[in-house]
Amino acid sequence: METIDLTIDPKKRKIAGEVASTVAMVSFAMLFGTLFMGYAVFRAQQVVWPPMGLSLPPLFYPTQSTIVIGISSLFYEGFRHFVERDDLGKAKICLVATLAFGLAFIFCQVKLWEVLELSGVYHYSGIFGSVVFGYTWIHTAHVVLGISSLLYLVLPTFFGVLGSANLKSSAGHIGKFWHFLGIVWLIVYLMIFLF
Amino acid sequence: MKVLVHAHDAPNTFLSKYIISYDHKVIAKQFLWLGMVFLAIGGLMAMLIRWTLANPGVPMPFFGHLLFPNSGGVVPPDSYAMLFTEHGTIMIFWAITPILIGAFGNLLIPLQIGARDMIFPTLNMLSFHFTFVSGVIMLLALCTPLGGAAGGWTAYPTLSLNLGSPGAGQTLWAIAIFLFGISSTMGAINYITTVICLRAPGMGYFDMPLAVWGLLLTAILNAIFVPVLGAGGLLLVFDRVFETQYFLAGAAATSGTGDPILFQHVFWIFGHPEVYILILPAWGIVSDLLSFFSRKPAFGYKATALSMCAITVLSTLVYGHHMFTTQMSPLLTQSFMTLTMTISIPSAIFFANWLGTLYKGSIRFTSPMLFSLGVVFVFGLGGLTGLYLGTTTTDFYLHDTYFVVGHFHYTMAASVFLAGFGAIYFWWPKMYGTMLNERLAKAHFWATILPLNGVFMGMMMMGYAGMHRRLYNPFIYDFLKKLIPMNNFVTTCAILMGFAQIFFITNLIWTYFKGEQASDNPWEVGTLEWTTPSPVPHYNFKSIPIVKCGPHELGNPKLTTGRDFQYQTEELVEV
Repeated sequence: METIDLTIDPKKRKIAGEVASTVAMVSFAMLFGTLFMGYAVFRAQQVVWPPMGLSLPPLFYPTQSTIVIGISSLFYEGFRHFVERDDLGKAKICLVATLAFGLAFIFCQVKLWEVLELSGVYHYSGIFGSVVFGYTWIHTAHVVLGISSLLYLVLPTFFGVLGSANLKSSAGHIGKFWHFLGIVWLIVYLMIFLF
Repeated sequence: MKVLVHAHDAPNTFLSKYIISYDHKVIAKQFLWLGMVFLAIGGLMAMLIRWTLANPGVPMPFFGHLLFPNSGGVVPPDSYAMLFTEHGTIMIFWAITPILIGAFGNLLIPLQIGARDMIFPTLNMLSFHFTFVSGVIMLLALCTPLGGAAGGWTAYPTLSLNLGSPGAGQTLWAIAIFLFGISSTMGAINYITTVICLRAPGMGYFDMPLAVWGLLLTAILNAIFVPVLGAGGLLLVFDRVFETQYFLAGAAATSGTGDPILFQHVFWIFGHPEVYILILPAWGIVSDLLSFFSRKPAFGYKATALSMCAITVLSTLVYGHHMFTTQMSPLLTQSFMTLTMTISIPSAIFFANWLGTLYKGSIRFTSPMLFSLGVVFVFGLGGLTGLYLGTTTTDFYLHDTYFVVGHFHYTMAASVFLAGFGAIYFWWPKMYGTMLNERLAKAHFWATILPLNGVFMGMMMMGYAGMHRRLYNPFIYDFLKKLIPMNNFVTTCAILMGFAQIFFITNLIWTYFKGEQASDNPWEVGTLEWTTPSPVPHYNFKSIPIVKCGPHELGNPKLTTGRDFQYQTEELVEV
């Protein structure tokens, strides 16, 4: 029986991964970019921000969320660093820490929503409530997606499934998404909560 | 060390063939049939709309009583709003997109660039599954207690908010659009990466068939702009389900709540590129077919490819011409108008190149060629009439009239479906290994193109005479009563066009039972897919081909092979 060569140069495969993850990031960036454009329009239309006599929420949980997601990104970089050097022992610790801080971020978001409601801001409280709740919901949904992606790395990191080369490339692509979510949160924090 | 890719078995079982298929050719067929089913559904809705406009208050014959028993077989006003909403949405997202982009993107990209499959077969499969599920949700919306979405395919708030469209139908519409967006984005990632990374050795970007160029540019637009609609759709769902206030009407003028016009901006930032998302694959396919059947190289190949790129870039900058009547600042309207007119330059180059390809060609009037010539004609008309809508002065009069409906049907519906049918007739041998009947195909073309022009030309004339779109019964206005005969004519043409599709269905059935086996290269063309057997085997090529010349090497008098074309795998014979 005739055999067909089904192989591909690993360099080409790596480039494919880079191209695909970059295109995916552009798509995610457009989604959040549209939301931020909307925010700019809403904000520009109001004489006073927040409108309707509402006040900005306390900065405690938003700031804590920023710190937590920042730390998780740092741990993720550590994870990538150790994966690149095939030091899986330290990589495991960093991955678990990234996951833990990712979950902590979600916890902070839930607490933020509670605080908002206690201070009388609901998702139906005019455009301010809609923006604060809706945008953080959408971002948190993406963080859940990010955590699912991190969980995908658990088996290859802990049990060597997939092999070293695949783990390295997967770590790179998922890292892009995880850091992207951190950047999006930073923009949300600066735009909606701080100024 | 080399790594395995595309390692999936040939689809032999029911499950692997029809449900969980990784093979790009099978996924292409899945998209094709899904698109055809939705084309039939959307087409039937169009018939109901046309019947209502030609015969307001008259019961629909045959199945009127079945569909609308409470109104004695007459299409009621609320159902009419649902019909034009669902017709537009289904045709654009679940008929044109699956056929042109899903089916022919999947079929042609790997075959024409010399690859064994898409780079991410699993993502490809998921892309189809998302499209399928989203389509089912869109249909389910029609079965909800208050019926389907009724806010128009543009879903402008407040028509699309709970205030204008109560019930779950419009919410399901938005969810379906969002899921469809995920599918399109998955497809786009796959298409772009496959074209960049899996081109056969020797195949530069300017050695790719123009169909691949069109599909690549479409994928780029999809990746960038579909998420914009996704964001708008998501906020719309929030407004409907959670009572947030992003698009609450009138509130921006007072204080504290949202802005319905913002949705229009978001929609058209996506919506205008969407026109090109749909039409670029059709342009690419037609550019190739015109060259193949003129038996000469595509005139100005590079200029055509670069014009497509220029149109792609410019298409992202002109969306405001859809919103001239929203009290936009004159500075903005003039800017958008100027940018819109700028698109005429690459479009004219592109169109002139089509004519240049045909000029002095040894034209073979096969069915794919007839459909391609049909595209040249209808796109010319559609493109030219767009100038009036891109100009503020004329748009203020023509906005929201049937002139707009006729224009966009010429460009987005007629051009795209004619190109789609041309592509089906042309690549059917590679998909199924049989030839569709040429005589029936030609009858299909003539029976379609003549009433088609009656429908869309008639719509433009009615629009010019002042008939607004989306009116249930325009003839309650005295000045429109004189348009009743014209509406009857358009409806008759639409029914004739609907019946013309019987030729196509008959052809499919005839070919299934009695179709002639196709040779490997029945059309005598040199692109890579024609170097493979018909139908194309699993993994496409015995070995990855090495490309040595462009896709349109036809009619070279110095060829000594006894053929008038060269395969892309052959050394170029200089003219």
